[in-house]
Amino acid sequence: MAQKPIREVQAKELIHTQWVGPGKPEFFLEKTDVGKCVAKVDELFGKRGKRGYVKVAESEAEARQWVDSLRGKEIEIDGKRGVINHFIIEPYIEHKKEYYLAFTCDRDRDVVLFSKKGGVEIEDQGDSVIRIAVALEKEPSFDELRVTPKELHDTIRGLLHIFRTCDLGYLEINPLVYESGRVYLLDAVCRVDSAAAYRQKNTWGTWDIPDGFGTELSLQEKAIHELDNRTGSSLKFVLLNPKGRIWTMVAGGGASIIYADAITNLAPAEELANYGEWSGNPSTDEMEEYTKNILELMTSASPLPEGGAGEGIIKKALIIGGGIANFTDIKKTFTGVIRAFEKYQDKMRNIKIYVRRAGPNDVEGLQLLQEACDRLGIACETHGAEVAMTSVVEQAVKELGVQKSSPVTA
Amino acid sequence: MSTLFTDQTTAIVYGRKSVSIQRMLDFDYICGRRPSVAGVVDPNSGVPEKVFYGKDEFLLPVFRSLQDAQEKYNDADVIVNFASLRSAGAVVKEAIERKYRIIATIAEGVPERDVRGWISLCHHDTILIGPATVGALTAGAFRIGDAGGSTEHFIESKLHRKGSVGYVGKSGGMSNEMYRTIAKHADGIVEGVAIGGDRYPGSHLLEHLLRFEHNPDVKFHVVLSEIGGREEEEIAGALKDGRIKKPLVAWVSGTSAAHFPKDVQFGHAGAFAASIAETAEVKNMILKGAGAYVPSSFEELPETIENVYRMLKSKGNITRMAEPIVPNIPTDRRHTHFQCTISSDNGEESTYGDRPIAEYITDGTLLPVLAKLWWKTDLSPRTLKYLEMILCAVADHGPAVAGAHNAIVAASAGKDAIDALCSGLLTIGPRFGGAVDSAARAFYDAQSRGLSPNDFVSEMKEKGERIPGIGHKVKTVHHPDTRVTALLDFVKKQWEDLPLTNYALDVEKITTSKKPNLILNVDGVIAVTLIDVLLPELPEDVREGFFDVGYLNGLFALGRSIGLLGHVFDQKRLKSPLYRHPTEDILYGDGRFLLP
Repeated sequence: MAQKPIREVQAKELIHTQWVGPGKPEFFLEKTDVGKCVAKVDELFGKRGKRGYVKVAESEAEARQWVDSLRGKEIEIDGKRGVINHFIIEPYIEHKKEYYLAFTCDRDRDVVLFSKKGGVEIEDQGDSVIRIAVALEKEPSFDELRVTPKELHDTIRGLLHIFRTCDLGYLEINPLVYESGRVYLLDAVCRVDSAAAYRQKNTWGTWDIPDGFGTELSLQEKAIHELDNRTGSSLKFVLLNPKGRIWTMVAGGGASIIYADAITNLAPAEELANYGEWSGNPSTDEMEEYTKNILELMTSASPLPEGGAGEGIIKKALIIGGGIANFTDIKKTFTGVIRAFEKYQDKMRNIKIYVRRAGPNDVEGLQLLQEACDRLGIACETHGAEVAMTSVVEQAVKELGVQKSSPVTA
Repeated sequence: MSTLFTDQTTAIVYGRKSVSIQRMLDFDYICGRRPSVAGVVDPNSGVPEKVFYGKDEFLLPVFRSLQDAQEKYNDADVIVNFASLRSAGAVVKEAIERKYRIIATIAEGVPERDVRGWISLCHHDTILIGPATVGALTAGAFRIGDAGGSTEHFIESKLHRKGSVGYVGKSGGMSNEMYRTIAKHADGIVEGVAIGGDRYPGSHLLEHLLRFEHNPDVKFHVVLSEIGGREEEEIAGALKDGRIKKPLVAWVSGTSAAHFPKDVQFGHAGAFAASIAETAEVKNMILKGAGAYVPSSFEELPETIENVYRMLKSKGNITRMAEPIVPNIPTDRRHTHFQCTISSDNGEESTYGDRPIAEYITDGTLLPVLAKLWWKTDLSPRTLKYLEMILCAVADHGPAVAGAHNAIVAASAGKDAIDALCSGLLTIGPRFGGAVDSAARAFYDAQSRGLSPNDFVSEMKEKGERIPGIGHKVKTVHHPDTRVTALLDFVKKQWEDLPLTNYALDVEKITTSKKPNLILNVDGVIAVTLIDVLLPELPEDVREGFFDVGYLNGLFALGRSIGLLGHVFDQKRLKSPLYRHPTEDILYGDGRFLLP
């Protein structure tokens, strides 16, 4: 549940199919030979022109050749790795003037951002950006739009309508071109509010929307997503570094961030295998499924290094962390964790479990988990509210021997 | 108000969240205040909720709508909204319209546009908390739902008495962790708010800090924020321009995001940096630059809090008070499985309702006892008299009717008096004696739908149904049933306004014009007259289920028991032999129709 980016082609399709009223921009959905054209990588990252992922080609064949040369390539954008698979090819539009137009949210206003300096990143726009705040239920008046070119008013109104009715969190058209009485959207960046998916079934609600660039999912991640969609609780999991040695199963949206911070503070970031979060008092069965999927990844995605995998040598840590729960039942949820451990005990010989959790029925829950691990021969230590929340992180990092080399000693 | 809640605050809880409601009441009990939950709204059921206050069990009123709850408990000015994410919005909007002061919404996953809509609808004196949060609490005064966690934990976190910290954060779970930290490293909180992890929470961090600033009990602020959003700039602004003067300890979590190999949406919807300005690093820097106490990691936050606390204490700004004595809540509380609200043998004196039985005995009249035990009320003398007349009217109707016949057959088969009585009573149903409630419902329903007597008769004819309460085997409009006449005469003399009775008499005029025996019979007259005379005198909660509970059929059963027992005793005295139906009175055969 959050704002999620959609691809340029999806944004354009949304605008095309949901448009109401005059001022509709031009769309190129018919598959004809377009002649001179623009090809772009459509993979949820920005600054594509600067990065060399936009190509102006003299013919469609040339554009396709360029596309084929890139398809399937793994690239790195701002430290995030992903494979290029999506492209967009559009006719080249001869134009003189470019505008910047964006729609965003204030707490109680919708905001239209407009600039006559199109094609330039918003950060580099300086004072040229005009900000028009419109009350949520109101249409922008002519007076409010006065600062924008009159010939664009209908288009601005139409886009604002889609921004509102389609539950978009952000929509940016940069550049927007007005040429010979026609409006062209040369680029579109769009984020949808995934919490509204249930009522956007006829627009984007059924689309498969990734979290961002480089977020292809493993089987287990997909299984957890499905689990999360079915439950009223929250079960999140993102695989970051399958070879990482510190795995987490932290309860609570807030606490899970703090644990991730603590781990990346103390250990090299690549040791953090995943981000995960469970909350809202999930059922025993849900916790069992959730834990099993994580253990599957943890025990198979990256086999233990050969040679040193003897009994009692800790190679990986699973941190079951969390604050003091308000209402999540520790005993009930840990019962699910124990069931998963029972099924994976054979593969868990070199894994140590570090637990810090408190809340309703915590004394019993922690004791059950400790006893189960002792019985199953899984290394485990359990703590409640008597220790600081992230103290187990420090311990795990130390026992794994993956401390960040501090500049002083190094 | 500089504080969200006082120890006088009461709330309406929307949604039957039994455990959370109980947590609120346990908090109240530990804090030594009166129960903070005035009532519960459950659109699906008005069954009262069983709760404990301390070790004693009580019933909490449950309403079908917020409107009903507000009418009854107008001074409850807080809504704790447990509605699901799809219905939460309608509840918030109604609560805003009804001018509730604080509306806390727990559901996670409400679309952003909806919450922004709530914010723009809000009156300036309404405070929204949430959605996607556990809520807020004022120490020693009031908690929203589960905020503060289970009893042993909130006592440990000193939430049952005021400390000196104003806490506001995004995460609901972390708020509880922070209350413990603040209790350990300072002296606890005055008030704590978790605004929720959404991008556009109903109220934001600064609003609460500015309120703490005006609360003399708050000596310093603690803020725990997250990556995403730019509200920290506003807080920094308030620190710089002096709107926040008290020391402020702050930490923004999410520094790890920069090290992730791909985009990660954290568990909270708002925890995503859409720009550099929204990253944890930048926001921590801005706060620090504005004079906030910002540690270098979350792990150092407790120490920072402790340092500020010590500093204020050494200046004499904070004085430590004695810890209050905490009452015990028994751990072995079990909800009862049996309940009774009409009489008691539990006190010094046995009672019917709240009145000793002895007083009823001294008065020596039966009907006030019936009124108390059946309807939990006292009735006017004329209504009591009329009920007694009805009992007289229905006491018996000769040996041939189903009930008496059955009782006689059972008694002569040697069954004892109670068995024989039951055998008779068991015949009371839709065809015998049990038509009173259905007649009442039919006439009441027709009149309240605004049907004219004529339309009502035609409607029933179209449906091919008899009108319950109309028709007699032998009596006609020319030879009226004197029982009916006697009852009607009394009612007409005693009451002026008899809308349903007059309606039924108009119906009778139409039906008897078609067939003379389609008169208003005893069942019918009892039904319509009691709606006119008894119903208005009943308490509201009794009136609600009037047609479903079966009071009127009960009245028939009660009266007729007198006659049934009479027949049983009669047979016993006569030593009647076993009854065997004469064979000549039975049509034997295989049930085939006669064919020409």
